[in-house]
Amino acid sequence: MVFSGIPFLYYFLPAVLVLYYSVPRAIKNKVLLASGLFFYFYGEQLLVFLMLFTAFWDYSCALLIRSAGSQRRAKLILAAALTVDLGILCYFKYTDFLIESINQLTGAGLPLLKIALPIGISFYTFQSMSYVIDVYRGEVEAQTDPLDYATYLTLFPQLIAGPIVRYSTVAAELRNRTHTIPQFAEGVRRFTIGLSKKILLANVLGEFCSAYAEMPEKTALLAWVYALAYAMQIYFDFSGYSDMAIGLGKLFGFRFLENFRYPFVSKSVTEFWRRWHISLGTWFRDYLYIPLGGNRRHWLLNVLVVWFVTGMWHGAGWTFIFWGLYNGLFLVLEKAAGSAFLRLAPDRFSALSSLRYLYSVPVLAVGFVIFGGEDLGAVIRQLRLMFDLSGGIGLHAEAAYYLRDYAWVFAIAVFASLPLGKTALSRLLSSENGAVRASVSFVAPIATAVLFVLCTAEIVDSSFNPFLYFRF
Amino acid sequence: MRKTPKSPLGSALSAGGEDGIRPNRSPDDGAHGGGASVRAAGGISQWATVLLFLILVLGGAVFCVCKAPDEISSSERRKLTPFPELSLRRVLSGRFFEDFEHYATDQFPMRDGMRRIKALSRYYVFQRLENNGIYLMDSSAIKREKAYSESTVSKNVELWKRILEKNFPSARVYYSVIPDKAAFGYAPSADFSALVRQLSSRAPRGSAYLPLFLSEESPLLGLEDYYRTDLHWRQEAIHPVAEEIARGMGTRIDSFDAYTVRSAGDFYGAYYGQSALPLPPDSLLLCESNATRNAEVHLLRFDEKGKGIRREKREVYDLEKWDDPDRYSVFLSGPEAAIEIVNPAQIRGKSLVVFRDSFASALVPFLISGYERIVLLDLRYLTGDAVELLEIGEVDDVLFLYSATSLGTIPLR
Repeated sequence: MVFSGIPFLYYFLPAVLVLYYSVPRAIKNKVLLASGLFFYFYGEQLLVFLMLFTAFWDYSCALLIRSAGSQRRAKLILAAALTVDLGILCYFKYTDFLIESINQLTGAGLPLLKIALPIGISFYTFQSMSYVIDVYRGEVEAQTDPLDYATYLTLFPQLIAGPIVRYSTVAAELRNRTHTIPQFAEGVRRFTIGLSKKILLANVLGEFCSAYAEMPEKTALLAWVYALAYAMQIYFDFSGYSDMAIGLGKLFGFRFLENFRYPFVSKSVTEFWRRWHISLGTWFRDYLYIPLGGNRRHWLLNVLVVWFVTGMWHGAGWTFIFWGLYNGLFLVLEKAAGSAFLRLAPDRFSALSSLRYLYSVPVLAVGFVIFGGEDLGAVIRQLRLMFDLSGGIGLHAEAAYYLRDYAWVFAIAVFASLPLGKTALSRLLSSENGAVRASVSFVAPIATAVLFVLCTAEIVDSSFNPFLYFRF
Repeated sequence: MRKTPKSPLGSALSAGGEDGIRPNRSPDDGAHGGGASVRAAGGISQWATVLLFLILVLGGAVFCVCKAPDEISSSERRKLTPFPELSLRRVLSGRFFEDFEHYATDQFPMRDGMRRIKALSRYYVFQRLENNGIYLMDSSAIKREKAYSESTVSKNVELWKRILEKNFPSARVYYSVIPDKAAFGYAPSADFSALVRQLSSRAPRGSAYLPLFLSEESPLLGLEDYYRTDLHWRQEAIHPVAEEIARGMGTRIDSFDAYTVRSAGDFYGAYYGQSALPLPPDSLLLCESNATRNAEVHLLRFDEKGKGIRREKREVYDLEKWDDPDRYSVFLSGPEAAIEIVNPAQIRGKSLVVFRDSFASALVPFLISGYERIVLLDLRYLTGDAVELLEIGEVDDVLFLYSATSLGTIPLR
C-alpha cells in the first residue's frame, strides 16, 4: 500500500484514525501494531512473518544482552543478532546479484533463484540492528514488552521507505505520548506537503523522464535537462515520502527526525550528504564509519568502505556500487582539498561561493545519472550524451515541445527544492503586522485542503504512481 | 548520549527540517501588536486544518464505502473495475489487494469531477500543454501520435497483398491514408509523409495511391474538418474528399446539393472524456440523400459455428446507436467487421470493396450513389482468412482507406 493511493488515503488511514482515537490510551499501541501488520500484509502478504521474526529476534537478543553478565557474552549475542539480521537481508537482497556476478565472471551459468525482495526490508532491518547495537552500547534501555517493540518496528508511517527511525528516537513516545490539536494540524500540513511533492511534482517529473527515454533524438542540452529533472524527481519522491512519514507520525503522537534539509542548496558533495537522506547518513556514521576508526585512523579506507556499503544498500547492482564509490571519491577529494577549497570559495554566501555550484551541480547530476541507470552500459550511454557535444547542443522540435510543456513544472520544482518558500513564510509569520500573520493563519488550512483535493484528483486520473525507494 | 562528531558522512542536524517551518518568534509570545487576536487566529487555523482534513478523509471514506459501484465510465468509454472477488487464495497471493487498488481508484466518488479538477489544474495552474496526451488548439482537442511503427505498416501491407491475391486478383486497387487530426496541430507528431512514402514503396503492384491529403495545391482537409472533441472527421465537411476519391477511382457521385444536412444532436467525442476538460459539445450532423435513404444495408456476421453468414438489416444512419457511449457509431452502425450496402438505383453498376477503419463510416455514405454494391471490411475485427468465407465474389474496385493511426500502430489481422 502506498501513501499516495486511494486505498491508503480513503480506506486505511481514516479507519486507523477512527480506531486509534476511539480506544483508551493503553490500547493505542496495539491498534498501531495491528495497523502496521495489516499495512505490510497488504503489500507483501506472508512475508509479514519475516518482519515479525526480525522483531522477535532482535527483541530477544536485546534482552539477552541486558542480562548477559559479561561484556564478552554480550558481544557474542550482538554478533549473533547482527549475523542473522544481515544474513536475512543479504539472502533476500543479494543472492541473485551474487549468482549473476559469478556467472558474468566465470560463465558458470548458475540458475538465478529469483528471490523477491520484501518491501522495506533494508529500512526495518537497519532500524532493528540499530536497536540491538544501542542496547549493547548502553545507549537505550532494552524494551521488555515484545508488543511495544513490534509496534516500533512495524510502525506504518516509516515502515517501508523510511526515514530510518531509531528506537532511541521514539522510545519515550512508545510509552507515553501526547496528542494535541497543534501537533495533529502540523501532521496534516506536513503529510499534505509530502503528498503534493510526490503527486504534483515527482510523478510529473517522472513522466518527463519517461518521455525522454522514448525520444529518438537526444542532444547534450536535453541530456542535461533530463539529468536535472531526474535528480528532482528522486528528491521529491523520497523527501515527499519522508514528509508524509513525519506528518503521519505526528497524527499518532510521534516525532521523527528530519530526513532532508534542502540538499540542492549544497555547494559540495559533502554538504549534499549532510542534507540528503540524513537518517541513513547518520546510521552509517554511527554504526559503521566511527566503529571502523572514523577520522582517527585510515579514514580514506573507512570512507570508501562506507560508500561501497551505501551503494550496496541502495540496490543489488553494479551501478549502485559504482554510484557509492563515485560519491565516496568526491568526499575524499573534498576532504583532501579541505581548507584550500573553502578559502577559494567560502561557505558563506558570496559571488565567489556561488561559483562552487559550477562544481557541485554537475557532479551531483552525474551521480544521479549513475544512480538511475539500468546498467553500466546505459549509464555510459547517458554520460556520453551529456558530454559529447558532437551531436549538437540544441533542441529538436519534439524536445522543445516537451520543455515548453513542462516549463512551469520545472520552475515550481526548482522553487520548491530551495528554501525560498520556507523563508518567505517564516518572515510572514514573524511579521510585525498582526493582520499579515492572521492572513497566513487563515489561508494555511484552505491551501492545505486544496492541495489534498488536487492530489486526490491526480491520483484518480493517473496511472504513474510508483514509489522509487520502495525496493531499497 | 554520545557527542555527535563531524564526519564527511553527514552529521546530525539540530535545525528543523526543510518543511519544519517555525516563526522566528511565535505568534503566541504576544510580542507583536494584536497578540490576542493573532493567538486566536493561530488556534482557529489549527482547528480549521484538522477539521477540513477530517471532513475530506472521513467524509471521503464514507462516500467510498457507501457509493454503489459504476459499471462503466461513459466519459472515458471504458469499463470500471468491479469489487474484486474475495477468497483466501486471492488474499494470500496479493491479487485481491492489487485488484482492490484498481477498484478503489476507478470507483472513487465524483470520478468525473475529480478528473476535471486534475485537467484544469494541469492546464491552468501548472500551465501544461497536455493532459492525458491531449492538447488544445483553436478549441479543438488533439491527441499527439508519437510515432508510427515501420514494422506494423509493413505487416499490414503484406496482409493487403495476400488478401488481394486470394480474393480480388482482377480488381483495380486503390489506397489512401487519412491524416490524424494531430497532423494539423502545432505539436510535433508522427511523420505522416514518411508513413505515406513507406506505404507507397511497399504497396501492391498495380495499385494506385490517391494523394488526397495534405496536398498543398489541394488542401482538402484542415483541423476544422474534424470534430473538436473527437478524433474523427465531420461528415458534412468531407464531401470534397469523397468526390476526390471517387474521381480517382473513375466514378461519379452525387454532388453535395443532393444532400440535406440534419442534426442528430450533441456529440461528446472520445477526446472530450480523455481531456476531461469542460469543452462544449460538437453537433453531430448527418448528410442524407435519396441514395442513403434507399440503400439496403446489411451487417454480415458469422453464425455461431463460424461458417454460415447471418445478415442483419440496418440503415446507413443507425439511430439506435445514439445511446451508445460513442455516438459516432450512428454512421453505419459503428465498429463492424463486415457490412454490405446495395444501391437499388444503380442496376449493373460497379462494385467496390473498402478495407477500412471507423473514418470510412462517415465517408462511404457519399460513395453509395456511385456504386451498385459496396462491401466494407474492417481488418481489426476480421482476419484476412475470413474474407474468403464471406464469398464477396467479383468486384470492380478495391480501396484500402485507413487512418494513419490505424495503419501505423495497429497490427491488422
